[in-house]
Amino acid sequence: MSGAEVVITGIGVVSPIGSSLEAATASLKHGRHGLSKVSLVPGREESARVVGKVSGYAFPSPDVRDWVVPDDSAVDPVKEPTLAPHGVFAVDALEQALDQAGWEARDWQDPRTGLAAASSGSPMLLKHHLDTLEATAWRRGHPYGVVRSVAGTLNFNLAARYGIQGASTGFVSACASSSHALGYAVDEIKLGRQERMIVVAAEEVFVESVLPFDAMRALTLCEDPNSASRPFDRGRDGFVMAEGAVAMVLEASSTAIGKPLAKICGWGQAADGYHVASPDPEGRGLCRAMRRALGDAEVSADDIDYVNAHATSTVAGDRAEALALRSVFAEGGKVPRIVSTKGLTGHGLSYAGLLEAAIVVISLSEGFVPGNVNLREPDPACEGLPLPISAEAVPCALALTNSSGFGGANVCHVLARV
Amino acid sequence: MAAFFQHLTDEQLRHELRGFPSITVEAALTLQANAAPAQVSAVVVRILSFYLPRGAEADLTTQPDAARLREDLGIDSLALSEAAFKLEELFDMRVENAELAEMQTLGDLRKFAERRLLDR
Repeated sequence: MSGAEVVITGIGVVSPIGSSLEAATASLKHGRHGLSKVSLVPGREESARVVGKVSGYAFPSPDVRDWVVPDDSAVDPVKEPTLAPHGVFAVDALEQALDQAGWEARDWQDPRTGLAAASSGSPMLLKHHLDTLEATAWRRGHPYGVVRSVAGTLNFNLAARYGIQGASTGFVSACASSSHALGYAVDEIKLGRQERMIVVAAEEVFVESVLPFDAMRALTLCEDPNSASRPFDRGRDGFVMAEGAVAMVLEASSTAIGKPLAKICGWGQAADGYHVASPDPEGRGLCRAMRRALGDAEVSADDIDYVNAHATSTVAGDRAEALALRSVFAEGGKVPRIVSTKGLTGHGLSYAGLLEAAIVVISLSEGFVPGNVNLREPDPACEGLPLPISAEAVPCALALTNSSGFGGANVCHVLARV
Repeated sequence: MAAFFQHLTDEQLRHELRGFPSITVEAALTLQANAAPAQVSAVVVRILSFYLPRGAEADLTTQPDAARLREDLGIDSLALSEAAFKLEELFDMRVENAELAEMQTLGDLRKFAERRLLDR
């Protein structure tokens, strides 16, 4: 799509691999993962799973009075009781991004500034509120029960907290959600509807949000945090769920307040039309989405230096993506480095796409690609794909990042160094 | 006269009020021990103070009856609902929607506390 050039001028990260852009960059460079084995129900060993937790925060009960946040958090949970735990992460990430972009309140409260958010809501709080209602014969519930727990809680809260007066919406396409949010934000600027957009995505790890995926047999059985998440590896057996938040500030380059960190050249999406939870086995939807993104960016496959893959460490998903990548890049002759950073970060579900877009910006601006850290023996489906194991110093000008979600949703973005 | 918070022991009352300022906790415990009617509305106002939205930091205990909850004190309808939720827990009572809707001033809240709680 032609129209205004869109640049990223601020990024905030609160994640298992660090709660600042600098900390996350160091973890990516040095291959330090952020995963650990945690009892999701305290004292119940059978609830223990390898997950990605954000350090410095604790939410031991649904009551905000019991919550612990870092000293430098922008949130006093007692004073902002409508925020879910992932909303707290999101505010702290957004504060970083706004600070980096050099925005002031008048900038985010300008009607030409919009917000696009993504999260699954808070299953932990939703269960708590429904339990409270049921225990009182459906007569008494917490007044904030809805706005702090349902999908949409993130955009409700951020729009109100920051006084957003432009576009405000949320996305629920599972693990493609924040990539959809990013694409929508790009389009809003390119179409001239908004001059600036804030994109925020977040998730939280509690028993209520993790173990439903265990019931789907989607989580890894591996109990070792050092090898549990191993995208593209022949021995992979499921994903590791992670919490955190990423915020990104986008601006039309002609009127940007902040200094551009990278440019978003184009994006594309395409659905599999295949299954509610499994990918098309040949990755045909993802293939179409990649080609559409390349077309939107007006670049060819052999212009791409690096692909941040969606690969979550599931048997079916990684294989489908590997086949899709081979299909798209075999034609160009040059096959870029392919990296899934989920070996380091775990899988952030709806915030994964934005986290990985942020990782791509880091790669473009810092001149390195991270490694597929736990890859020991690549799946045969990956034949011909360059899969670096550890970070490599490589100047990259153009990168592609993939996201796929339930229902066969596939979203891809092309980003360029500035 | 029986303990004021009839369904709560002192320990449970402290737990329910964890995170509240110590002066509020002590006021509630005093009320529990003495069931002193004069203290009822003061405790209720202190509890409401805890739910003041971010940026609305007025000391409600020193405010006159005429102070308007929304316009003068910055207490929005959800904050009032949240305080009512806590009052229901603490006093094992039901606050009706109509009662909340009629609560416009701090004086209305004080009268509500006296009307609903003094005869317990």
